[in-house]
Amino acid sequence: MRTGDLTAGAAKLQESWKKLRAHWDATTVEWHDAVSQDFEARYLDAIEPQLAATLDRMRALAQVLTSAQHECEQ
Amino acid sequence: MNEGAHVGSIAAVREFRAALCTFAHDARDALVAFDTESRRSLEWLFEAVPKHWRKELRRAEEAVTQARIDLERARNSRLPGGEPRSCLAERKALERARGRRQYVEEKIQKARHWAAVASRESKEYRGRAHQLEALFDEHVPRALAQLDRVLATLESYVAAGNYGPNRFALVTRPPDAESQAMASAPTDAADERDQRERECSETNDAADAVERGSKA
Repeated sequence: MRTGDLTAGAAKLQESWKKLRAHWDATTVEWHDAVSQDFEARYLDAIEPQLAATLDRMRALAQVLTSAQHECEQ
Repeated sequence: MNEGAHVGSIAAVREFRAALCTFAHDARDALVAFDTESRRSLEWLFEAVPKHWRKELRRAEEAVTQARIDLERARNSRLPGGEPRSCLAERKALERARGRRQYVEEKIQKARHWAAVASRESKEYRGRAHQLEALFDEHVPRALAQLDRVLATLESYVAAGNYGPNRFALVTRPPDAESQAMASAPTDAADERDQRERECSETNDAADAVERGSKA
């Protein structure tokens, strides 16, 4: 039994978010006004804490399953 | 677009829209992949592990029983000269069998412990993941719809020639520069963007429905 793919899922999610944030930072160089600020606050800033909390839970579950594998295997 | 609008490049907004589509796609993929893998691991922990160790416990108990019988038989037997046997080998065999049984019992306890911990963590994770998915379902279509409105407004300004700091606060690059920027994008990237755009078209329809619903 292997649990390596669990950490890969969390890493992929985090990497996707980092890319989007970096893209947004680049976008705000060209688009910086009240609308872009509202867009950032309304959508990106709203997603970020939920995503961070989900990543925490993903890592916690992956850690538990890795420990379980270590302790319960034949 | 109000007078405070400041956009240096329509392409930048357009590319961010494509990046948002890519993120929504990749994030869902990552969640699905994690969900599939975690369920597989949990099934192993909840079903395969207890089944394996229960079977091992039966074997270990049978081995202890057999070792006791062997020891008892050895105690009752005599050496050729009539002397009682030391039964050392049989005692050691019984000790090993008991040790194995204890090891298996500890494994069963650990499996129960980790199953309980994993069940709790899994519930925590799934609660968070559902919240995140609900947020994606609500926010991504709305964000795309807002970007579409921004892009439509900017493109209409450009088409009408009503841009530049002297007539609008909206600032754009000359149309030629926009065209060059679009034309210089790698073909593969453009193809991928087109693919994402197609994937997001249904999402936009959903966003319109959400918008209509919220206005109603």
